Amino acid sequence: MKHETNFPVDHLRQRALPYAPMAMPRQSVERSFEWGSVFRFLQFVRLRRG
Amino acid sequence: MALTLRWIAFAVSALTSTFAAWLFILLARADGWTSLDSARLVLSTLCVFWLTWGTMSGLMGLMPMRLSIPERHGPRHPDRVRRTALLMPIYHEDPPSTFARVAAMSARLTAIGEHQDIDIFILSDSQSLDAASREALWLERLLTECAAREQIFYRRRSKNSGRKAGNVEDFIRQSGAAYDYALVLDADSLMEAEAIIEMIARMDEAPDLGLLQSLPLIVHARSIFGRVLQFSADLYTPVFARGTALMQGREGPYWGHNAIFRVRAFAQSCGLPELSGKPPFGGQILSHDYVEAALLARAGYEVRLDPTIGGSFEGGPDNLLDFAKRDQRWCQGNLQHSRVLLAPELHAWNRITLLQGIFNYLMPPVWLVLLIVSIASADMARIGRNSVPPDWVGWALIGFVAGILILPKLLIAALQVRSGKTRSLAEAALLFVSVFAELVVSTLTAPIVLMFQVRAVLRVLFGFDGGWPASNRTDSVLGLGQAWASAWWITCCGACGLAVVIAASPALLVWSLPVALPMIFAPLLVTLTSLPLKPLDALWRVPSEQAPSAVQREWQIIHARWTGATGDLEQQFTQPETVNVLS
Repeated sequence: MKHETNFPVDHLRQRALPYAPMAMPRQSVERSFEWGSVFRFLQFVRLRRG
Repeated sequence: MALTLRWIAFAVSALTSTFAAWLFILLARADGWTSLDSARLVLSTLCVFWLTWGTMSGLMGLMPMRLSIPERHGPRHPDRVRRTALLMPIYHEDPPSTFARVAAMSARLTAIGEHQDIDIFILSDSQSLDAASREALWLERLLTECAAREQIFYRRRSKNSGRKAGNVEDFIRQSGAAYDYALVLDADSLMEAEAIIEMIARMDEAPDLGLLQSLPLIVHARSIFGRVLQFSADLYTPVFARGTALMQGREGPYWGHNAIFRVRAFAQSCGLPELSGKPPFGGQILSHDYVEAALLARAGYEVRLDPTIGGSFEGGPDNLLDFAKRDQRWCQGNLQHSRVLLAPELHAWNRITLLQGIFNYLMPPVWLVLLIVSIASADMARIGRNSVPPDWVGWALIGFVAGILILPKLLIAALQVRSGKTRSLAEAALLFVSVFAELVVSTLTAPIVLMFQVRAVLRVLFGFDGGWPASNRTDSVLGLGQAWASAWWITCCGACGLAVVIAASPALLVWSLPVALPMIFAPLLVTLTSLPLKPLDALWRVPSEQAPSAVQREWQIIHARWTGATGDLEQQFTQPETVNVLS
């Protein structure tokens, strides 16, 4: 990520953020619907019915 | 205990809605059951369940049970030095107001000698050069005046990817390893130095505590609408928050600001992905806070709301349009949570919290449909049927629903008087007058809020991406023209609804007026409630107005000095008050 100031940095006494990187892995938050599970469920019902 | 209380809340809500359903069946059956009555039965049962579920957290909060929050004993351990970052993400805010808050908090930290281990970061996401140049100017002023200027940092992102969550994430990726804790603030947040230190200490005490949320009270409201909101937040919210805290277990809420988190835990578990598909349901997660709380809990950390920490403040919307604008954002964010609801391994309570957030915005359309179906149903009942339902049933149903809505508020006010927080009979009377006045204002504005929420839901469902516009925290007064431009459609809906009632079910006219009239006069109400009316100053008084805390006074003085509105503020606040952090 590029950090911009667009202004004279010295004049504003802006300082760079401390350089101490930390990883932040992406988490999984979505569960996609599996059509296979419907098929397996129907098969299970059919088997139960004999 | 939390699990038991959750089940009690659910059981009471189920019982109450069943009782209301029974009353409704008695009422509707009297003149013959129609298919519309079946629809009304389902909708009204859902509405009563929802109302009771909300009321239950208030009633739980009133119970004399001890919060399962470990108390801290003694001062902070001297050899436990933890580095803390105070993060203030901003996006097109008013710099004098925002930076004065930073100056006030920095001054208070310096005043109590606790600033050494706390760095303050203003993380700007402002995209326009004009906004950036204003920030640069006021940063200069901030750094000139702050004694601890070496500990104040500012950076601006050229592209605000991920919005606020992305802004914080960017900080963690760049500097996270330098800090143990990060305390996230909003642009209108203010926190007492003692509250900040207390939160750090509580994090020190509990190594598996991932996030600690304080209860921010609304301050600095000016208009009628803002002061009513401020009064409600001051009187009712702490009790409702206590109820939430009793039921939270290890899966408390995170509201996105005035909260401290363990940086390593947050970094390990809260990297938010983009959702598949396009906005409003896909793309970046807008209401990131609830999801982050759920992810921290999933990773095994405790997330805790602690309403006993005082000295935590925020600003609130000062008029109905700003409130509706904020609601539009929250609505889109909460409805988007439907994509996260089935995320793998989330705790059940977190799923319920997400679902609750979704229903916060699905219920207004349910109420509206219930109203429409009721009008249609009354019309159907008039044709060909002459029997009249027994009077007591109708009144019982209305009284029952009104009781669910009003009971917690009256109980909270009564408890306030009983616990001696009002010092005289006159103060107690004024408190009850304020409660009734609040009920009047909220009843008048409820149909307008409902219509704005219904529109927000429809916009999201039809694929409109409202984005995350900047908040207006400065101008509160709205002209009639401005109000008309935003609320004319509510007037039209109200007038059409009333015309239909008069034509089809005149018997319902009296009952429809409390909803139809506020809708018809929506622009006028929007304007009137945005005004700061001096004669009403005695109403809705809150402690922060009468005796502002140290950081509030500091902010008011700095802000007045910076904006040239000094007046006699500095003379007014000469004696700092002792801060009671543990309320």
